[in-house]
Amino acid sequence: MEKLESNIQLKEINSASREHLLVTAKWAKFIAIVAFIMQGISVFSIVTGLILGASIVGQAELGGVAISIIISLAVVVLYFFPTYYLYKFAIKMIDGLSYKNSGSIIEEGFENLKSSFKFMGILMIVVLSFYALIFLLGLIAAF
Amino acid sequence: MDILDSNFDNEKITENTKSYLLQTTKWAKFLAIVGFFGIGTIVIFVLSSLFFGGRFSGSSTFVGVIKFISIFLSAITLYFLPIYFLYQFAVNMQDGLKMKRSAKKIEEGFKYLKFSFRFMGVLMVIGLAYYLFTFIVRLLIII
Repeated sequence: MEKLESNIQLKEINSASREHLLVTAKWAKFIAIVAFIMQGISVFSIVTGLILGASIVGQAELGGVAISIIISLAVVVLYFFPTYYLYKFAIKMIDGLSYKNSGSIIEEGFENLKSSFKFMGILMIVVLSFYALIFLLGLIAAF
Repeated sequence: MDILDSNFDNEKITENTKSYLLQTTKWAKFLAIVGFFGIGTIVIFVLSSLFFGGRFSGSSTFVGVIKFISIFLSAITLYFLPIYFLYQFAVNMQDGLKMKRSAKKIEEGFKYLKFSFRFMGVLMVIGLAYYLFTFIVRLLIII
């Protein structure tokens, strides 16, 4: 009991944290898999749209169609990366928590969690600056 | 749940993990704050459109307004909760990693991370179930 109490004071992943992390990792895995499927469906519908669109529109509109398709594919690719990192976090964390002496796997898991959040954060900054730019352009155009 | 067996040694939070977790919390905090601003903006927009846009004028019924407000409030809550959990994760984890004797704070942090992911996961399940339901209903209507 003495040992247990002194353990609690250290910076450790105790059994409660272990349980929290395991549940987190399982839900993260589920979310990542659903997101992967969604991204797959998006790519599929974009490509289908490309094939159908190319046969319907004339030569003149083909440029516009191509641009919109490239943009939508780029958005899907941007969403792919944080999902991939999240999936790797989940896999590594479930692995790492299941075996003894697996500190390095847990470490890799946290690295991937960091990458996922960092990617989303940077994406958020890019999107916000894009909005700010549009807002400024609108302001300039208004005056 | 042999994974949670007590014979596991508590995994030390290594320097690498600490650094990853600190970076994660910084990005998580940023994302959460942007999320709070986003929710605030939506609330202000909807409230001002309610009061200035004449939604309360004679054309809309009392029941309609109540219905609108309750749907709006529940949608806001659904957006707010995972972001709030994420923020709590970031704050508790930052506290826990910076202080000495802070296993409790770290545990709290992981707990909120779990809440956040579980909430988003459950929301996703409900969303998917809804899509499936409408899909089946449409299929039945066609046949």
